[in-house]
Amino acid sequence: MDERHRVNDLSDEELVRRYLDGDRAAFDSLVARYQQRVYAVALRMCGDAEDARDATQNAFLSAIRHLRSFRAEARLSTWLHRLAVNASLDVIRRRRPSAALNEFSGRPAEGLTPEDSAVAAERARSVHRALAALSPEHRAVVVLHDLQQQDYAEVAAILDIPVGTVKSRLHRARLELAKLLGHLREGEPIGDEAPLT
Amino acid sequence: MRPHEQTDQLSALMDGELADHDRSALEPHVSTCADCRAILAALRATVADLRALPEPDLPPQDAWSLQGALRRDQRPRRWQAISLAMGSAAAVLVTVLALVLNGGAAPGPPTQTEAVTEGPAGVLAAPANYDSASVRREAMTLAEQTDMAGGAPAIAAAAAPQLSAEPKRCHRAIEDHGELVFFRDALFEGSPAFLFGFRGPERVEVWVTDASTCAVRFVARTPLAK
Repeated sequence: MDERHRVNDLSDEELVRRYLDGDRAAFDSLVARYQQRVYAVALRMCGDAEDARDATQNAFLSAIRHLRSFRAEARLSTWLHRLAVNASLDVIRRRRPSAALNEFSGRPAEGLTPEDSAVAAERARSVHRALAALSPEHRAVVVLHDLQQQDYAEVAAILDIPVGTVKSRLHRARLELAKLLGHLREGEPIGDEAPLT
Repeated sequence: MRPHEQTDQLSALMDGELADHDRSALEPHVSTCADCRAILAALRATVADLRALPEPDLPPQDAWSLQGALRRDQRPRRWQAISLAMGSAAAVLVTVLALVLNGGAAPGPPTQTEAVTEGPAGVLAAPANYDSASVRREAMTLAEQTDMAGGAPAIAAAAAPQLSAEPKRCHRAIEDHGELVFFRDALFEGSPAFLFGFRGPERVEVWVTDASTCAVRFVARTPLAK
């Protein structure tokens, strides 16, 4: 029987239970399941690959250490996202203000011509710089909602803030990004007058 | 564009997060308001830029070293207190143990009792002072506690080798010897020492090693009752 295949079918809650019963491999499975997501949050938050690796590691270390007190009624996914955000905020706070951020690259989009790739890369750099200009609190809601596809309720649960705060923070963060990215200028309408769909 | 009361709702409208009555109140306004439509367009373009970012990808070698770091951390916390309190030989041995217990086949959290514990304000309690009689009693206690269900690797028949201060050799000696079920630091006849408890299907052994040289000072063996 393929043990690893069976383990992949287990729910998060079942894996947690098994780990707490002494099955160390169960935590490995949770790590494998969530490491890309945790890394994605960390990378978007920290803006630097090495910082993101540290934050990812710290998030999972925190998970191991506190798994026993993790309450079963919260979702593991919510909790891990929260650990990822908090670990990232810690790394950001500890950084020297002048520290250079290493541009990171993700998986390149497929099927682009070299010219399109160069344009996309430049656009990505602008977006990264704009994200980095946001306060960490504003960056977190953008990363979780717009990049990690979490809805308002889930973002609120992850960050332990009211939904109303998610809504206003997200809106404010996007307006700031829009200005930095040239989609919005003070005092003038800009862009197509798109019909409301 | 002039922000007005309704513009604060535009992100939520775009995200489908407005309650039905709020949405149906807002939509008629937006369809006639150029400023709102301009802001919506800006929001859409911004989110499109964000979604166009390349997908972060944790490279395989980083995923590997993440797993490794997590395994190293899964040793019980009191060993970190031990290695802080003792000198470098102890640190070597603690590193070795971490390698053994986390890389090896130990099936779940160890069941040993804590001999060195943090007292108030993190001060280490004084370690117990063993002699050969009390080490033999430890072995007997371990034998009594041992679960008779199989699976423990056999204890090597050879006499306990001298452990060196070299991590790799200590590691091999410990790993090859049997299933390590407890480790504690203590005194043996007044000198700093480590106790290792091993268990195999037929007997248990407790080794006492010198804390600074890792030389084996005493071994107690107890057969398991059949």
